[in-house]
Amino acid sequence: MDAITISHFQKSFGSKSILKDVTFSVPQGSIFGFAGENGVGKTTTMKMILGLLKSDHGQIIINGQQVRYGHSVTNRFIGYLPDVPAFYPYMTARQYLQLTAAVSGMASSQVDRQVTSVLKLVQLKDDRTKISGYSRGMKQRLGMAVAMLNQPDILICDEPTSALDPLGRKAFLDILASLSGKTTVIFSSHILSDIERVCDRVAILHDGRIQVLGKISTLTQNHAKRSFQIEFVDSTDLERFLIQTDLPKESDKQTRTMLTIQEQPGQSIGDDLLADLSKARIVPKRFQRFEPSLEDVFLEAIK
Amino acid sequence: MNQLMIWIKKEFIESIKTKRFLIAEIIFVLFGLMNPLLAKLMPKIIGSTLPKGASAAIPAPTSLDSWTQFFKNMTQLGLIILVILFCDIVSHELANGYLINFLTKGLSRWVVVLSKQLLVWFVWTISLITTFLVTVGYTNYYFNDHLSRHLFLAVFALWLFGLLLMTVVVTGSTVSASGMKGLLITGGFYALGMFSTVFTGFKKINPFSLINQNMQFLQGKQSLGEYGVALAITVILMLIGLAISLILFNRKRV
Repeated sequence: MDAITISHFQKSFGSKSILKDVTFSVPQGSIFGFAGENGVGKTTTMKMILGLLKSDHGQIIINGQQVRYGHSVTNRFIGYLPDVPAFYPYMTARQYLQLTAAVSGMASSQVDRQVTSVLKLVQLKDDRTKISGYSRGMKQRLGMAVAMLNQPDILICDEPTSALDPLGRKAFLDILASLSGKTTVIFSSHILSDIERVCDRVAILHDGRIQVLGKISTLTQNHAKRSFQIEFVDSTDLERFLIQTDLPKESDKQTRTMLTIQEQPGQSIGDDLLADLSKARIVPKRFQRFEPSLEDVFLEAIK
Repeated sequence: MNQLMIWIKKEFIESIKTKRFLIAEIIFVLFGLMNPLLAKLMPKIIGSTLPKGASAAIPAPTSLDSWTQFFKNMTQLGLIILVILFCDIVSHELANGYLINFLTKGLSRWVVVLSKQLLVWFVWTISLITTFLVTVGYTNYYFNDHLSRHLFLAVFALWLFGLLLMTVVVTGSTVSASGMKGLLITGGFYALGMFSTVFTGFKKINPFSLINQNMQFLQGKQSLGEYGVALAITVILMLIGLAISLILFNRKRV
């Protein structure tokens, strides 16, 4: 069953058409990556799912209910983490979460327990430090705590890792990965390695449309090509190898001593390359296999 | 209604934590102290600048001088200080993205606007009461006369006009994207309104008469009842301003 279904969604700002025809669905319990270049309309899509922006055309269904602008009925299923979460700086994390809980209508008997629980989940100290004294990473974790406060069915994260340092990013992605199977997550980002690390599915938005949609493992198999890189000791070895091998058509001689060869779908050229090296009695300086990545899929999609 | 109470409480705490309420209170207490004191000292100050003998012609100050200072300070400084303190009350929240979390958690947009409106009305009312009480105390101490007979009616007119101006503050802040633009909108409204008092033929229907005729109301030279239309228009303008804020905020992108 799908947690979110977006059908033929369109949105323009003035004369500029941002979303031309966006259609995709997010299966329940999946961690769904939403990739695209900066300014392509990822945040616009997120805000429309939350009913914070009006659409020009199309509809969004969340858990069987249609999203309507300005109405927050479907938001009771959703936790939202914006790209730059902003908090009242004079409050502590606990005070802020208590206010959020009160606004969302949480029973007062549950508030303290739930606040303690989410602070523990995001590993944030429950002390008297004002939010004004928080680092960017701490604010991001507090944003995550806010989003998870009501134990939502769906968590929407809009570029949450783009401004974090490597440690903060790792910590954040670990928290996200821990939600797998329990919560449906939409993880919007232009950092493809982050998506590849935690998501099982991905949609790539480009030119106002979803260009690629599916399981990351399937997409990398079908869309991207495996490649091999051979570094030779000198250019003579490289020339000798090119005479020996019958794979020059797919090769790309990058430098005087470096050769990159892309494998075509359904082909397996690794053994042949090693055999050709052996036949030519060449010992390369380096022989490396590159597995297809989401980046390859992405580059292919936005061509 | 529950959300409204929660958000009013949040707004009130915020006005304390950001020191806006404290600043307003301190300034208005100082006004309260200054009004009778200036009235008391003014003849002496003026007398010291005049040649010997001429100062004897200056009449002795009365409670009316103290209340003249009160209305002058409230309309020329007090209200303007409050406008400056609260001119970004809506735009600041929107510009910083503070509301996104709460709107996605189900906070109604009208609650945000109405609670901010109620806060600025509250701060104005408390500030006016503070100045009023301090001025009453010291005026009675310095000038124990009975010349200021219709004090409550005169102050009521000022209070109602202040509510209108505070409504314009919230509307201006909702319309604009920054505190400066909000300030310009409220400043423009105030300047145009003050200019409109030149047309004396309309004074009975002009809300700005409520801060122009205070001394007349105080001394009973004019009855506030004669300005019933101006009072009604003031209330209607407040409601229109609030409605505009609610409608515009509902359309704002967050």
